[in-house]
Amino acid sequence: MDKVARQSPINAFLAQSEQRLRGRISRAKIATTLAEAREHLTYRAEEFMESGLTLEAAEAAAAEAFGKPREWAKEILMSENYKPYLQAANNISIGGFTVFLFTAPLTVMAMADFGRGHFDTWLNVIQIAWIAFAIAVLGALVARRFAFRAFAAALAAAIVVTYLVVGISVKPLGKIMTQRMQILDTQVTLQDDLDRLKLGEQVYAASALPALVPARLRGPLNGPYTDKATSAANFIADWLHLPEADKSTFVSPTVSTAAPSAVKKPLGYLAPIVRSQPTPLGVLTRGSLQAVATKEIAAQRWREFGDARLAECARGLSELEKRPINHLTALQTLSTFKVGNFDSEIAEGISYMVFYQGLICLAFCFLHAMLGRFLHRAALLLSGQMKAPQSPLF
Amino acid sequence: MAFRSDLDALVLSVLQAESLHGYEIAKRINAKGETAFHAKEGQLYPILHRLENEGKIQADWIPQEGKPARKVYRLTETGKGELEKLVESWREFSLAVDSLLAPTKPEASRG
Repeated sequence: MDKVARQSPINAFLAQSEQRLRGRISRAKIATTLAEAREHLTYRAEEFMESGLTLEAAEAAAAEAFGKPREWAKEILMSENYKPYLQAANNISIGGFTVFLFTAPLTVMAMADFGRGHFDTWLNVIQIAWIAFAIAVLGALVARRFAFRAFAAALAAAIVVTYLVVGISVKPLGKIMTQRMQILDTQVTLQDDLDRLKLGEQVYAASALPALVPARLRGPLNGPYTDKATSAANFIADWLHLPEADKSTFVSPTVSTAAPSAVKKPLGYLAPIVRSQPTPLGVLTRGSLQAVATKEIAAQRWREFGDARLAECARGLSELEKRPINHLTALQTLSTFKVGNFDSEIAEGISYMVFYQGLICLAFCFLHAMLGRFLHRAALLLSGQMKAPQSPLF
Repeated sequence: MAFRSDLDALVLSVLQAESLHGYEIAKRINAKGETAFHAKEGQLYPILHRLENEGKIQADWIPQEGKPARKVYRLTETGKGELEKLVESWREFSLAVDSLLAPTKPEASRG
């Protein structure tokens, strides 16, 4: 305060203005702007002195006539945002942020739907990149127009809004969407099996339980990964009395499903499924749902009447047709995964994803702001403003 | 109170004849009796910067002996076109106001 008080009124005005402009436009631009203002204030003070004022009073009168440093600096900053490329960037930013706000819940649903599928990596990359782009462009908009402090505040607000939207919607939406997808897939699978049965085709579907995994299966299933699938197929096929030729159609528990963790637990349940055709491993979860849902009908019959499985399965599936899987059944079914806690796994996975998204968004914001700063300076260089002489302040 | 386009017109019209630096522009405008920048003289510079960014005026740095270089503004072709539009617009507005304010002749009584 004392330092400011000792300054001449003109220097005090310029110092306060410089403080408000610093970091918001280039140093060269600040220098030339303040040099221009200094010249104006000096001439104006000389005029006041000619009318009889002292130097101090004349400078004070000149500074007062010029305006308040805060308001003047604000108007200077606004005048810098009339560049066409900044206006275009602003429009893009506003559009991007609006789309981001509307689609944030949709990305959660997409993650819930596809998070356990084969395309999850690519989908996640696309989602993360897209959201990061939207936030980064918003950051650039705010940075260019309102500069650092407001930029930081707006960025924080954007992050809060993002996490509120995603956080509120992640669990219920993820749960509902996943369950509905599972139910839909299960119904389609069952219908497919029924259609095949009606055509007289061999169907090994709906062979399931949850049953306690026999102790003799635990060793092989916990063995080396390379042998795990084969071991599991062989042992479970033997356990279910499958014919040797059908082992290739057996979907065995592997990594990334609830099954391997289930068999590793002392009281874990296993819900294998056998289908008429080789099936992607990802179907196991849906198969487990189907299997567990049909436990009273098909599983026991499979085990008790393994040799006549086609007829028994046909009867079981016919009975199942009368008991379509509904939402409540699915909830009960999913809740039977005591070991894996299916819903919690999904919620946990999405939470991590949101966290990583946040980190990547911040990184993108930083990079984008740096890029915007670089482009801004490059534009100034090209327009020749950087070549301007330095102000006496610098 | 002046509107933004009015201030633009004032600045552009002052630069029409010759290139000037900021303080001289303000003086010329004030000399014409305009009070646009009397309250806040500094208001001129954001306008100059905006017009420069819009390509309506161009700034050149002129070296001075023993003093820092001076930023001098001149009108561009775009600025000339803009000034013509603003002048035309002002004339239309002025005519409209004049016609409204001019004393009207009493209508001849009928009957």
